[in-house]
Amino acid sequence: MTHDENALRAALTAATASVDPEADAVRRAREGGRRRLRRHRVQVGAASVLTAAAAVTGLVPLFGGGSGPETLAPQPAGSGQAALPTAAAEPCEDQPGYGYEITPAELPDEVRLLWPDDGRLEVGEAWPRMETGPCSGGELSLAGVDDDGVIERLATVFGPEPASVVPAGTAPGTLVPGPEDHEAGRRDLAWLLPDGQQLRIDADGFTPAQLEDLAATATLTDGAVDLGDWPAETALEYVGDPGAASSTQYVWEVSGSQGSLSVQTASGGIYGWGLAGDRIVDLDGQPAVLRGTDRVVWAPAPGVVASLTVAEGLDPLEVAATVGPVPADDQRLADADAPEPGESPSADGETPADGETPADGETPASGDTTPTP
Amino acid sequence: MRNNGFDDFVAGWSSRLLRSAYLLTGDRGLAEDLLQDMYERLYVAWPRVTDPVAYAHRALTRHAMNRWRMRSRRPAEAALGTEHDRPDHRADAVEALHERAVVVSALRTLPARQRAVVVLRYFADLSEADTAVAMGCSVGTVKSQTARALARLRTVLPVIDDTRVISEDRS
Repeated sequence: MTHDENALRAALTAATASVDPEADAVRRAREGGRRRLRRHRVQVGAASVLTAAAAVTGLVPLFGGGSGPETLAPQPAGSGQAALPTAAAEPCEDQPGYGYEITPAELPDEVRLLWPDDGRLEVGEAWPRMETGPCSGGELSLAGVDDDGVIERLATVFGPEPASVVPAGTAPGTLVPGPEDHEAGRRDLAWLLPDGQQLRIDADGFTPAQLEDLAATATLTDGAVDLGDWPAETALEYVGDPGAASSTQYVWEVSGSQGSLSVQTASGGIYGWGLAGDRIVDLDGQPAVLRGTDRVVWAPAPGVVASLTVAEGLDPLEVAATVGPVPADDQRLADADAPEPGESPSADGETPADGETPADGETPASGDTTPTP
Repeated sequence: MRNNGFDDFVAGWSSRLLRSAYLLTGDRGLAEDLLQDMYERLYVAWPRVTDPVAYAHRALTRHAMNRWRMRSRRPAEAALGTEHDRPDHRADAVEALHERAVVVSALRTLPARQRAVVVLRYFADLSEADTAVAMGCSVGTVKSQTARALARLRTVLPVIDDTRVISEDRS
């Protein structure tokens, strides 16, 4: 180590001597992790459980196959890339918790979107994938806005799903707090339908009485949540399209130095992707959720949600308006890098809880560790 | 328990990792956001992680180099300045604050990859090989980026100018 390297080391240490974490760092880390874990499980239908079980039995790869540099678990004997399951099984049937590396050509056309090749935004990385798991209940999102379009109230109803929060024997419609109730001011509640299935709601800005009314009103129509007249009675301006249960999700993430685009199949509308304070704006005649000045979420097609973040100086709405289907053989995709193992190209990627590809230092199923500094 | 040891890891490493994130981003608020996001990912992956320190450095570095991608569904947080730091009661606190500003300003002059090698090599004390892993590049790239970063810092950071030596006991 040279003199100036030692001096640099000392300078860096001295410069950060008073930078200390907040006292509740452990709690925030743990609760944030739990929240993310729950979101993953909700979104991919508790794929983690089946994935772990499948991995233990050595039956399936986790993100196996393809040309990826690493896989979590051994390839199944005698197989290359596992055959893709049918994307839209009707009726929804549980599938093993797999994560598949796929090619852009294997994405549905309505998911394989990109900004135009006009030189403004480059493509650095492109990552198509497909995830399967047990049938996850559908979603239905709702939002209420003020006169300026700023979201004041929003909620997402998840389900129907097997009862996990509500104890057996609880009367249908009785609201039971979930594990994250009151976190960040939001309500996490669950209740049973008369058939014993469970619905859950993640709500912000509603009164307890309104949520009780919702629980009493909610029914199922063709397997999807039906809130009847409750949104209108509660003066909610925006209601998503209820989505049915699904066991397959396609995800397409593209990023470059000027922006990132994440597209995925998702049910229930875009409002569950918002937060109070976001603004609902018009994007080519359709509502979109705008956060700050650099991020917009919209539904480019039924059952598809796209999220675009742009670098400073670009207008996300202007760019989003130009995003459209791109051929799988587009040269920009051919030239794009695949993300590094374990890395989602976007924080929005929300790789499945136990089905994500490993980062360095990560192994398929190790015992717990208790490292110390 | 699924996440045995996670709390201990966070408690034991938060200071070090936050400081790394601060040097990587030059902003206290962004550093905290980066760290929290890393912790959430680590929590999810914890049962499979055998080297959480390596995981943490890798995640912090990658996401710091691609910072704009970090904007998740959470609202953007306002950057926090030094007023949010804990009081520094050292006798040379004012000088230390100035030094910090100088160091952070110098790091800001570096491209993201060069800044990352500086932080990983000279603050996190990672080897060239571990730095390469954290950054997802070759050791050769680490060497070249380090050389360029040091050359640049020599022009903007007085403490590593050969004419001025910072005392080791300052640390």
